[in-house]
Amino acid sequence: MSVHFTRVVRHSCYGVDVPLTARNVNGNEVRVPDPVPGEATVISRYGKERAIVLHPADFNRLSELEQLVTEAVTLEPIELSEEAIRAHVEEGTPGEPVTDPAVLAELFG
Amino acid sequence: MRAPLGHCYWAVAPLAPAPPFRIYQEGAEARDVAAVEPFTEAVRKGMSEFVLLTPVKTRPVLVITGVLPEHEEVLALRLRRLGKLATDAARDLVREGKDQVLFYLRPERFAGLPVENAVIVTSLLRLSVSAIDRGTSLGSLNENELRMVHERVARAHELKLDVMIVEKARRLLESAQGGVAKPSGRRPRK
Repeated sequence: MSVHFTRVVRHSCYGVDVPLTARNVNGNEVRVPDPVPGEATVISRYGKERAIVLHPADFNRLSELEQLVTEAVTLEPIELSEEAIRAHVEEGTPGEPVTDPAVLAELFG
Repeated sequence: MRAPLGHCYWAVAPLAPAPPFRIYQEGAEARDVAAVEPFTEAVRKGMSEFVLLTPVKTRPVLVITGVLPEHEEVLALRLRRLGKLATDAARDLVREGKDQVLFYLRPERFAGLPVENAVIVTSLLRLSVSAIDRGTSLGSLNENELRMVHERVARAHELKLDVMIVEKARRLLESAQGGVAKPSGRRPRK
């Protein structure tokens, strides 16, 4: 059972942003049911889920899907053209404000 | 599009306060403060509110959110006249939707604007609805265009929406599947 997996970020009811990493354990040190592709073996104790055993192929598939979704929803940075930068700066810079009391009185009474 | 969302209006829009800060004083000339640090020093002395003389400009803005009923405020974007762009090539890029920051407002749908304009998606403003002249809409985006503007605003400000989207997709999947199937009872040991 010495399989290496890449690190992915897990989003689930067990907590958001929990990184999912693989811990390697020698198959001689533990007793686990033989994993079958397409089947998740839920190990429970006192009515609570303790662990889930997956076939490595399923785990890989889940990890790849998770990475795919995470990459798909990560927003691409926007491209700033020179015109866009100039527009932002100029439209956010004060011009010549009207301060003449006579003009202001005429405008607003 | 349900007004004011996606509509363009005249509004009294402030420019972001920046040094020198002009503070109003009763019965005296305004006082200039050159930097932000004296304000934080004033907070330590228990004084944090002042009247600032901030420039405002009456300008058309594009409202990109509905009104928050509790606050009577919206988010809006400034516009840029295409005539102010430096070259014909730049104007064509905007018209063709190839400039990611300057989003073209099609003149046929913005009849209230006398010239061609684009929205600057990096120019997010928070405005009170009472600062917007909602009597006359100058034009409006359709649903699809508004969606594109929202996406570009999110990208321009690097909003972190990934967890929200993944969680929503997961909930939808679970609801479509009628919840995650779980085995019941004890399983025989192999």
